[in-house]
Amino acid sequence: MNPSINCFFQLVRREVYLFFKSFLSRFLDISFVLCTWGIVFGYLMVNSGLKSSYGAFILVGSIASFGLFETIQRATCLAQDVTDNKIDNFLILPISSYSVFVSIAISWAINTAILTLCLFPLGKLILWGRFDLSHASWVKFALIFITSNLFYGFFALWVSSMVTNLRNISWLWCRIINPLYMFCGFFYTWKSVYELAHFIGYLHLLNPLIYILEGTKAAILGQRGYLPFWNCFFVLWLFIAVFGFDAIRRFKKRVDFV
Amino acid sequence: MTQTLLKIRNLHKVYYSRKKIQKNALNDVSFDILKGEIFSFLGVNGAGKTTLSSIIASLHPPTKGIVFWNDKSIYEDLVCYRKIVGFCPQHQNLDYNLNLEQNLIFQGRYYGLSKKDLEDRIEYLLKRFELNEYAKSNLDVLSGGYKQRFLIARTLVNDPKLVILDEPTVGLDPQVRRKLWQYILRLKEEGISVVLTTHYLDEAEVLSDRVCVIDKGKIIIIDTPEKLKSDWKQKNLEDVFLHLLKEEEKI
Repeated sequence: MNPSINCFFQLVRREVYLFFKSFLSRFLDISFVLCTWGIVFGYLMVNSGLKSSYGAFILVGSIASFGLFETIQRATCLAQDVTDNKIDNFLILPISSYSVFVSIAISWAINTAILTLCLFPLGKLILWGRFDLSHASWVKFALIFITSNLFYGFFALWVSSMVTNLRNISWLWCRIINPLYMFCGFFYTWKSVYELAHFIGYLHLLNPLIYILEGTKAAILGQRGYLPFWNCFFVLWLFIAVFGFDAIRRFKKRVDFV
Repeated sequence: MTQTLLKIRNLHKVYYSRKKIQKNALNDVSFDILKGEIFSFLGVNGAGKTTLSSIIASLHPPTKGIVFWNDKSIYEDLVCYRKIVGFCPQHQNLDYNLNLEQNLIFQGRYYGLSKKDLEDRIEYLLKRFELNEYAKSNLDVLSGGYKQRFLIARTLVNDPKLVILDEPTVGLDPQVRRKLWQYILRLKEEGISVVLTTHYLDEAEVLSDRVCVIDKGKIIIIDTPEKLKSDWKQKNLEDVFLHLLKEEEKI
């Protein structure tokens, strides 16, 4: 095997290996979150007048947006490795230094994908009959699932490149993660916002997460009422390229690698 | 005749801060590293030793200048060059998520070692560095000296032709330092070229075939410790070093 490809594969393998060491604990953490969302929005809020399908809407949203919550932890770990020069060991391996960062993003994407896949049957179990999968297109779901996890990987890499001071990373949640999350169409559809005010609808299109949420919901719950699936799919690839390129540019400047 | 392993030509390294020159870390540095020699960089803190060794390790790029290996710039075939280099940095960058054996396994895999070769190599390195009993232990249980020893062991997983040791004995007690010296001398016996960065002059005197004194990013002199002592009529390398720096300050 080509030495660079082998090295790339082994770097990904190491990250996935470490991920599996803490898999159970992380799966339990996220299952708790999913169960809470499912019970509140699938059963309790329905009694307060919400539509019975809202539980499925939120559940698909929480599965699709799960990768975002991993971002802070990943960004902190990588920023710490860069600060402590731990990353240096990877940057002298027989592989181009750019590829090291790409391998990190891809391994994060794989890890998120594994966890998210495990959440799917759990979500179905929680909502059971209220989670209607009759409109699901599994091919579309597979495509948006891979794309969105890759997006989260490269987005976390980009966020890591922005973290320079580990003593104060609350800004990350306050200024980036929370606004992205609140305006990503988790609680509402893009269409409803667009109908409310066109301008706000267009503004939402600047948020990459809206494409993940709308694309995933379109794939699982049916296209009606959501942004066109293929638009979401292709725009996400554009965001992956932009975040990936900018993250590596920033790391190149900061770490000064060859 | 001794063959040249690396040719370093006209290296410059400038650190910028907000597009303004912050520091000229290296200024027109040229020299050769020979096969199987221990070549030491000597200099005060901030002289440019670590910058130079990290450029040779291909961790950081020079601002100007070239490092030649096999008469080709290392940047023309970086992957091949990196396969023959082992870099032991000043700051330990071991993987604390893995135990000692796993650290070596992953390091070997990065370099494409086959399962059998890797097993043999790990067994050999753990034995050679007297780390057998810690193979399955986490790194936290190791003392500073053992960690440094393990760091050198990890550097050797890919059987490098050039090993760069950046201040490998800093902060260690004399006994451990002597032990590490033995390991370094053994690398030379095996025909491995060693680039050693240190500010312990006794260490450089005992270990080095040639020393390179650097000050403010410039090479002041390169020669064997014996030649330096006789030329400058000093008893030890430390006196030569202080003498050289004094002369440099006058200039």
